Amino acid sequence: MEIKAVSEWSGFQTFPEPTQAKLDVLFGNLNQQNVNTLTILVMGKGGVGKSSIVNSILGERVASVTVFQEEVSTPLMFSRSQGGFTLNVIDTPGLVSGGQVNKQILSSIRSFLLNKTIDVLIYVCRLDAYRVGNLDRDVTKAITDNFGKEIWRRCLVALTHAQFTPPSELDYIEYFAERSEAVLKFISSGACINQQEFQDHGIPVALVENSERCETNGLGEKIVPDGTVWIPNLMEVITGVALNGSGAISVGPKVTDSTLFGKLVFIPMVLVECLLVKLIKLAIDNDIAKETKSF
Amino acid sequence: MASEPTITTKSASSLIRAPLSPEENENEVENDPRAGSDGGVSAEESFETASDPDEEEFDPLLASERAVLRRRGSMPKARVSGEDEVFEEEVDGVEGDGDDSYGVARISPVGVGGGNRSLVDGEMNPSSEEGSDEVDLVPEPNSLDPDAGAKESKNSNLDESSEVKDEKFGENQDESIEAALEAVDSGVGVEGSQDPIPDESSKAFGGEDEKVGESPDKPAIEATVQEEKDDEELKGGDGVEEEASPAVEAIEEPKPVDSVPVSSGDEKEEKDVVHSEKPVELVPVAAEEKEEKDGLDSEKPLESVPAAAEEEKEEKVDVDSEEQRVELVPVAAEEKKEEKDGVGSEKPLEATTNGEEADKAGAGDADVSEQNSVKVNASIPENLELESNELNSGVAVDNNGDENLELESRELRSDAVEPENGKGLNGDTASEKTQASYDSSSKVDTHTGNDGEDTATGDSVDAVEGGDSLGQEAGENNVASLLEEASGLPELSECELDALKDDVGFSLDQDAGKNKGVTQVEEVSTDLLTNSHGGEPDVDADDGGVVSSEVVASPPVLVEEIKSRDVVFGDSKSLEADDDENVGDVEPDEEEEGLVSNGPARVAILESSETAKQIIKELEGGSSSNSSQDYRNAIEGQIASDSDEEVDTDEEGDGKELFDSAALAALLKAATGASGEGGITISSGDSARIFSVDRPAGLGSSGSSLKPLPQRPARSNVLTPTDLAVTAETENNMDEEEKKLHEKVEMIRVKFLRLIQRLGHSADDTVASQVLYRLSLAEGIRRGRQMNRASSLENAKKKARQLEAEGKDDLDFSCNILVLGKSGVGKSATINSIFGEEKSKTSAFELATTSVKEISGIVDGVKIRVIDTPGLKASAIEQAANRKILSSIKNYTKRCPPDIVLYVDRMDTQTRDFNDLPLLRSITSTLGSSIWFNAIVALTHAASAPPDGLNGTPLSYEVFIAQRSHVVQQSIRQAASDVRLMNPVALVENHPSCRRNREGEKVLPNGQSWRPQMLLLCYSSKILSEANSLLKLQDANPGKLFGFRLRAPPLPFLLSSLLQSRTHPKLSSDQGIDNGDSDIDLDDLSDSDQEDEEDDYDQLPPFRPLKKAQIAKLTKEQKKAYYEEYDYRVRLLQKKQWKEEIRRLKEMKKRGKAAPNEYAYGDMAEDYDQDAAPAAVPVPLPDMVLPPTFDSNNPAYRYRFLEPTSQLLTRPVLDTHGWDHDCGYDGVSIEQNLALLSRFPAGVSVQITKDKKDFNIHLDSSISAKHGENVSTLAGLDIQTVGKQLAYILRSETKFKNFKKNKTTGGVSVTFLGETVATGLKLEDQISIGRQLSLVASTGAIRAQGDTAYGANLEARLREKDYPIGQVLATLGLSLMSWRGDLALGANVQSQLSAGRNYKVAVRGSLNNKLSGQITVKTSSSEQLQIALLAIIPVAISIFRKVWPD
Repeated sequence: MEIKAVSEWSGFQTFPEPTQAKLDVLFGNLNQQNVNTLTILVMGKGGVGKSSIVNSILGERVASVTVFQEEVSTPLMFSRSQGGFTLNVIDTPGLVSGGQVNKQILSSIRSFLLNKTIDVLIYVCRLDAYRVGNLDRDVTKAITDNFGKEIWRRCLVALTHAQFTPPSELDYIEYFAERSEAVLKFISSGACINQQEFQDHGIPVALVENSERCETNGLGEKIVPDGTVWIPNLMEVITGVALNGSGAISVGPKVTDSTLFGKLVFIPMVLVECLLVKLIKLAIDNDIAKETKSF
Repeated sequence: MASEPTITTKSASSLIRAPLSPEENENEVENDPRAGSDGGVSAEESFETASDPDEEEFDPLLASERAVLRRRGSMPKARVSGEDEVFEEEVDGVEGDGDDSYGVARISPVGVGGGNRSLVDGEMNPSSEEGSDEVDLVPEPNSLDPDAGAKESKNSNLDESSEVKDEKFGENQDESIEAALEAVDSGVGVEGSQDPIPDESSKAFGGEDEKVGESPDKPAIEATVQEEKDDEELKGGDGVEEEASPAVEAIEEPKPVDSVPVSSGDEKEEKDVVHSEKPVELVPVAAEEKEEKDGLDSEKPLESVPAAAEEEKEEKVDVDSEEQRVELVPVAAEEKKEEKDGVGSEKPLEATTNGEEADKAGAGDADVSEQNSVKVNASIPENLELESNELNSGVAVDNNGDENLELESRELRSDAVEPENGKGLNGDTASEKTQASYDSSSKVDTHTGNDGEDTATGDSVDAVEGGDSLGQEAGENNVASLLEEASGLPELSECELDALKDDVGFSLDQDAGKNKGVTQVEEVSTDLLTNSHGGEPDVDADDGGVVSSEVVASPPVLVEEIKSRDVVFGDSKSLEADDDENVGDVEPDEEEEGLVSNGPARVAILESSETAKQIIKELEGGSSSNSSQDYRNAIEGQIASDSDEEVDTDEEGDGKELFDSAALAALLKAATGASGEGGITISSGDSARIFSVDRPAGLGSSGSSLKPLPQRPARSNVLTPTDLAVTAETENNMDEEEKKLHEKVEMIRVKFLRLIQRLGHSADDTVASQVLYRLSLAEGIRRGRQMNRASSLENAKKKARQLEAEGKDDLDFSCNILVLGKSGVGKSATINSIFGEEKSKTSAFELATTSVKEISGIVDGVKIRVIDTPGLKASAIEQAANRKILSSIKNYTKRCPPDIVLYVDRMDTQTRDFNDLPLLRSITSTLGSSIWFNAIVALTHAASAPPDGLNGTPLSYEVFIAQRSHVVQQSIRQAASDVRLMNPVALVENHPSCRRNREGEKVLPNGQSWRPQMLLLCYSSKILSEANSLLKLQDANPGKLFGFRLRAPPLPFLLSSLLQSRTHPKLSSDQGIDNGDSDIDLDDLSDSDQEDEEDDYDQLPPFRPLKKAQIAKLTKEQKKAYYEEYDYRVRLLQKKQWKEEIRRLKEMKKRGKAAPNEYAYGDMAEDYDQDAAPAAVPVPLPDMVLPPTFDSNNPAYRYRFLEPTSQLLTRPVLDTHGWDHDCGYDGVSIEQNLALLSRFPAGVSVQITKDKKDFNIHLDSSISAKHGENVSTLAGLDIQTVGKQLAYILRSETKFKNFKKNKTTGGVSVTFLGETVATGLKLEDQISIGRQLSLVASTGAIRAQGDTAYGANLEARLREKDYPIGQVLATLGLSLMSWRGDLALGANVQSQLSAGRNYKVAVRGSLNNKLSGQITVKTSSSEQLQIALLAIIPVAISIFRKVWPD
C-alpha cells in the first residue's frame, strides 16, 4: 500500500483565491456533516487523463502523467490534509490494454483497496472521443463485477479535454450533452443498472481541463468553454456525491473465484447425474416388470 | 588535386593511421609526424571541413588555418581509416579543436569566404563527380587539403563503410572534397575566411569537426592556420573552415582528428566537432573495420575504433559507434564482425567518437548519436547493410564511391548547413536536424531494436538513434536538397552548386576522386543549404545539418554526414564529422558499404534522411569509382560483393531490398522533413524484395525499383554522378532503347513536376527531390549508367513549366487511395478535406460510414479515387466484426487495387499501449501484410495542442508528432511482423476552424500546409510505382512474400520423421518371414505356437452363449464364471485364427514367389490388423447427396467417386472433427501395394486434402529389395506439406539382421524443402527379447544450411503374451533432440490396459525437459451409458451461470 504520511495540502495554495474560497466552503460543509476524510478513486481507460486529474485536484504534480511513456503500473494513493480535512486520491493504471480489459490491473486495484472505503469514484473519459463501443461497456462491466453495483451510486463522470471545439455543426453545450449521454449509456448498460434506478440516482458529469494552457477567467481561475470554473465545480460534485446518502463502498476480500467454483462443482454434479440415471433406469425396469407381470 | 601533392599522398598514406587515442585528434593530428602527409591529410581534412559551411561565424581564416594546422604538421590526424587518417592528420594542426576531424578542417569553407568559394568552384566542377579527385579544390591548396581532409574525415566518420571510402579517396579526393567543402563552407557563409585554402582544407578535413571545434578557437585556428599556411593551404583551409562552420565540421570531422582540434576551439563548433568527431570516429570505425579504416580510426581518438572497424567489415554498425564514441573502435571492430548491423557500427562509432568526443560531449553526443543513428540505421540488419551497400555500390558504382560518399555527406552537410544564415547554418540547422534525427533515431531505435540481429545494439542504437535520425534526416535533407537542383547556394556559384548537387545526387563521380567529391559535396551542401533554407523548417533543419557536414568527400563521409547531422545541433560540425568519418573510412569495401548501407538502411528505417541513404548509396556506388583506389576498390568490391550476396542470399528482407525501400523511405522522409512531421518515411517495402519483388505500388516498390542492379557493381562508371562537367555527357551515347526509356522516364518526370507545381510545392522540396532523385537513379540503373541528372532535370522542369503554362489538362495521372482506420478518427473528414467538399458523411457520435464506398473526384487535374471504409473496431474481442468489413474491403481492392493505403488515426490519443494491435493484425491477416508496404499513416487532429510533458511543460510540437508517429509506426511494424517497415506519416487537420494561411490552406501549428504535403506523398508513391513498373527494375521474383519464407527448415521435425522406424514393404510371399523387417517375428510366433499351453480352441467342449435375459437371472458368481469362460473361449478362437493366418503366410512363403500380380502385403502386423484378404470385395457406399461445391458453407471440392476396380485402394478420408455442415470427407486416400518386376515390393500411399484455401498432400512411397535372407534395403520418397511448402524427402535405408533377435538399420535421407536441402543420417537398432519385450534404439542427425540437429530415440515395448489378441501393450519411449544448442529431452509412456471385462483404459503420459508434459487417461467402455450423459453437465453449468450470474 502506498499510503503516505498525510502531508499538508500545499497544492491548495496554488489555486487562485476565489477557488480556494470555494473549496473552503465545500470542506466546511463536509466537516459539518462530520465527514473528515474523503477518499476518491479515479479509474478509466488508458490515456484519458486520470493522473492529470489527480494532479489538478491536488494542485501539485504528484502523479506521473502518461505521455508516450509507461503509465503508472500500480494504484497509488496520495493523501493531503488541509485544516483538519484529509483528502485521499487514488490514481490507478488504465484498465484497458491490448484492446481488452486488463483483469490483472483490476485485481491489483482491488487488492490495493482492500479494507479501504471509497467515498467517490471518478470515472474518467475524454470529451473529444467520438465513439463509444463495446470496449467501454466491458470496462464498466468489469468494474461492476469487481466492486459491486453500488459503486455507481458513488460515481461521477469526469470528461477531460474539455477545452475542445466540437465539429462545426454542434454547439458546445449540445455536444457536451450528447457525449454525456453516450457515456452514461454505456455505464448503465455495463453495470446493468436499469432505467428506473438510473433516474433515481443519476450519475453527475463534470467537465475537466487539465492542461496548463487551460483558459482562465478574469480571476485567474481555470474555466471550461461553457463558462464553468471547473475545479470548484468538480469538488462540488464530488462532495455532492459523497453526501448523497448511499453507503460508502468498502472493498472486501473477494469471494471464491467463479471459475474455481465451476470446476469444483463438476464432480458432485457428475455423481448426481449418475445417481439420476440409475434411478431412472430402476424406474423403467420396474415399469417393465409391472407390465410383464400383468400378462 | 594538384594543389597539394602532399595532401594526396598524405591522404593515401596518412589516412591510414593507427587509431587515435581518445584524446583529441587535434593533438594527434598535430603531433602527427606526417608532416608531409599533411597536405594529403589536409586535403582530406579540408574535405571534411569543407563540409561544414555552416560555421559561418568562424573566421574562415581561422577555420582554414585550423584546417591547415590540422592538416599539417601534426596532422597526424589519426587517420581513422585510411581516409580518416588524412583528416586526422590535418587536424593536428588544429589545436584546441575539439573536433577530431580528420585532418580535414571541417570548418566550412564557407567561412573562408570567397577564397574558399573559388576553391570550391574550382573543385566543384569536377568534384561533383567522381573522379574529380583532382580536388579541384586545389586551387586553394589549402582548401584542397582541408577538403580532402574533410572529406576524408567525414568519410571516416560516416559509416564505416564510408570510412573505407574515405581512405580510398585518398588525397585526391580529399582534396577535391575539401575544396568542395571549402567552397561549400564558404558558400555557406563561412565568414570571409580570409584564408580560403585553409578554410577549405579545414572544411575538407573534418570540416565539421574542425569547424565546430574551431570556431571557438578562432584565434587558435588562426594561429595555427598561420603556421600551417606554409604547410598546406589545405590545412589552413581546414582551420578556416572550422571556424566557418564549426558546427558542421566539428561534427563531421571526427575523422580529421587533427582538424578537429582546431575546430574544437569554437564552442559551437565544439559541439559540432564533438559530434563530428564522433561520427567521424564512428565512421572510421566502421570503415576501419573494413579494411582501411585504420586511417579513420586514427583520426579520432577513436583510433581504436578503426581497428575495430576493420575487423568488422560488415559493420555497418557504425551505428554503434555513435553511442560509444569512445574507444569503441575496438568494439566496433568486434561488432563488425558480428554483423554489419548497425549494432556493430554503433559501437565502433561510439568508440571512436567517444574518445574524441569526450570533450565535446554536448554536441558530440548529438553528432555521435546522429552518426550512430546513421550507423545504426546502417547497421540494421546486416543484410540491409549489405544490401544497401550493394545498392549503394550498385548505384554509385561510379568510381566516385568515395567521392560520392563524401559528396553526399557534403550534401548532407550542406543541407544541414543550409544556413539559416547561409553560413554557419550548420549550427542551427544541425540542431534542428539533430532533433529531427533524434526522433528518427529513436525510431531507429525501435527499429533496430527490432531487428533481430541488431537487438544487441538496440540500446546503443537507441541512443544513437536520436542522434542518427537527426543526422540522417539532415543527411536526407541534404541529399534531397542536393539532389534537387541546387538552387545554388548564394555563396557558391550556381554552377558549382549545381554540379555539386548533381554529383551528389548521383554516386559521386568516382573519377573525380575524393576531392571532387568533396568539392561537389561542398557545393552541393551549400547549395542545399540555401535551398533547403527555403524549404520547410524541417528541411531546413536537416539541410543545415547536412550542409554543415559537407562531408561529401567520401562515401563514408556521407554516412558521417548523416550522422553528423544528427549530432550536430545545428552544427555543421556534425556534418563534418560525417565527412570525417567518411574520410576515415578507408575501408572501401564492406566497411564502406557497411557504412553506407548502414546509413541508408538506417535511414530508411528510422526515417532517417533518405538522402543520406541515397547519398550513401551513391557513395557506395560512387565510391567504387573513387579516385582513391583503395577506397574505390573497396567500395566497388564491397558493392559488388554485396550486391552479389544480396541478390543471392537474401531470403527475406534482403538488405538490398530494404535498402531500396529504406532508401526510398528515407528519401521521402527527408523530403518531408521528417523532423517536423514526425518522421515521414517511406515504408520500406518488402525489404527482402525491395529490389526483386513486384512490390505493390507505392513507395516501397519504387524503392525496389531503384535498387541498383546487383550485377553491376563493378561498373564503376555506371552511376557516375557525373553528369556534370566531370564526366562526359553520356547522353549522346544513348542508343535507341535507351532513348525510349529516357523518354518515358522523362515523361514521368515531367508529370511529377507538373504535379508538384500544381500542389504548390517546389521541386526542391525534400520529398519531391528525393523522388526525382530516385527516378534518375532508377533510370540510371536501368540503363546501366547514370545520365546527366542535372541536365535532364532541367529539361524536365522546363517542359513541365511549359506544359503547365499551357494549362493543358491532360495530366494522365490517377491515384487510388484506400482509407482505413478505427471508428471516429476522421477518415471521412479527411476525404472531405482532400476533395475540398463534403463527399462523405461524418458524424460526431454515430457511425457515419457504414459500408465501403468509392468516392471519386478530380483534384487539381488528378483523378483521385478514394475508398471510404467503415470504422474498424479496436477492441480485441470484436475483431470478428472487423473481418467482415475487411473482407468486403478486400473485394473492393481486388477490383481496383489501391495505390496508397491511408491508415488514419488520431494524433491526440495519448497512450503508449499498443491498443490498436488487434485491429492492425486483423488488417494484416485479411488484406495481407503487403498492404503495409505502401501505406501512409495519416494523423488527424494534427493541430491539437501537444499535451504536457513529464515535467509539466507542454511537449514541443515536433516531439509530440514524432512520438505519436513512432507509436503508430511501431504498432504497424509489429502487426506486419516486419521490423524494417517505416511508413511515412502525413498530418491532417480537418476541423473547419483550423488556422489557414494566406492561400486559404489549412496550416498546422508548425506552419506547414498539410494538404499539399499529403497529396505529394501520395503522388510520389504513385509516380515511383509507375516508374517501377515502367523500368521493370525489379527482379521477376514475385513469389517471395516478405518475411514469410521459412527461415530455417524445421529440422527437429524432419529428424523425428527420419528416426521413425519403418517397416519395409514385403512381397506377399515373404510375409511373415523374418527377413529383417518384421514387427512380429514369424519365427517367434511359430515358437509360441508350440509353447502355447492353452487348449486349442477346437478342443474345447461346446459352449452356448446365453442371452442377456438369461444372464440377468444368474447369480453373481454364476455370471462371473460365465463371463470368464466366455472370454476364454473368445480368446482361444482368436488365437486359432491368428495361427492359421500365420500358417498360411508361411505356406505362401514356401511356395516362393507368387504370381506376378500378387499383391505384396505390407507388414505382417498390419496385414493382420486389417484382416487383409487377398482381394477386397467392393461394397458400394451408400449413395449420399453431395452438397453443392463452393457453397458458402463448403469451401471444398466435392467429387463423387465410384470405387474402381483398379488395384488402387482408394478411400475417402473422413474428418470426424469437422464442422456441422460439413459431410466430413475432406480428402482422399489412395494406396497401392505392388511388386515391381515381381521382385521389388513397393507401396505407395497418398492422402490429399484440398479446399479453396489449402492443399495438403501426404505421399508415402517406398520400395524395397532383399539381398539374401538377412538384408533388406528400402528406398522411398515422401512428399509432405511442411508449413506452407512442400517437402520432398528421399530416403533410403538398409536393414540387417545380425543376430536372431537383433536388427540394425542404417539410413540416409535428403529433404528438399523450398530452397533448402537437408541431409540426414540415421542408425537404428532393434532388439527383441523374448516374445514380449522389444527395444528399439535409433540415433540420427540432419543437417541443413549449416545447421545441424541431432537426435536419439529409445523405445521399449512390452507386449502381452498373446498380442495381438489381447491388446495390452506398454511402451516407454525416450527421445533426445539437440538443435541450435537447444536440448530437448522427452519421455513418454503409453499403455493400453483392460480394466475388467468391458473397459479399456489407455494411459499416456509425457514429459520433457522443459518441464512441460501431458497426462492423458482414456477409458472406453460400452457398458455405462452414464458416461455419455456427462456431456450434459457443462451445458447445465453454463445455463446456470447465465441465469444466475454470481
